[in-house]
Amino acid sequence: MSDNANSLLNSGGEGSLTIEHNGKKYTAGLITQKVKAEFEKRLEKKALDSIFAFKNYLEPVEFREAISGVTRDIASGIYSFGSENCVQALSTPSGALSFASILFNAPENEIQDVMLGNRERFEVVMDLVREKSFPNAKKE
Amino acid sequence: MDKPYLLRPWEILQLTDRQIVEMYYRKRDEKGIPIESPQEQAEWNKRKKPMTDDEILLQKYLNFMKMGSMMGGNKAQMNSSWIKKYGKIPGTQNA
Repeated sequence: MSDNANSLLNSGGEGSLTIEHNGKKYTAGLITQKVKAEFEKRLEKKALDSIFAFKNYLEPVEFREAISGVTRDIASGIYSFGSENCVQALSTPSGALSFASILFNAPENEIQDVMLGNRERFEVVMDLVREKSFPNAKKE
Repeated sequence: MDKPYLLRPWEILQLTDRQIVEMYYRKRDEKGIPIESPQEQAEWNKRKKPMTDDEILLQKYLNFMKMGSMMGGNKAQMNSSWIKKYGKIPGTQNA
């Protein structure tokens, strides 16, 4: 791979942003294809888990139908990053926390403490992550 | 055609949407080879829509409300805190 392409990859902490909390450093990565795929996987798992949680209350036919409904949804992109479902999930506290834990590569309980203890700094870091990760709006 | 960017799938996985756009949506010469730019981000910086002060404040307000809801904050309290600090809700006339 050329140096040019290397320079565009997120290697060596380039483009990362750090928040220090209780003596520990938490560094946010950018929203890469890997991060997006990881969040999609979590949404898909949550949908499947919710059906398995009710397995004992469903008839086998109902259970199979519910599972195939979710797999159809997955195939049609219902849980894709940027979809309506995904945006809704990100606007909930648990969804936002889950996404932040992927970005910071840290457990959700630690990230929750970081968020609560550094509200403004956290907001700034998330804004910068978005700014660096997505193309700017085009002029109309 | 994309000779400088012979990325493998696991390398593309590490890219952001912005990086992909900057790499693949760039101007090319008649042979399809990306034209070298003194600054990688020059093309997108040129296209960036300038924001007015009102738009910046509105964006700040929306982020504030989003962050508040993530923390379980009450909308009325959040609005009240905002008005205390900035005087009014962006896009409204109330002072």
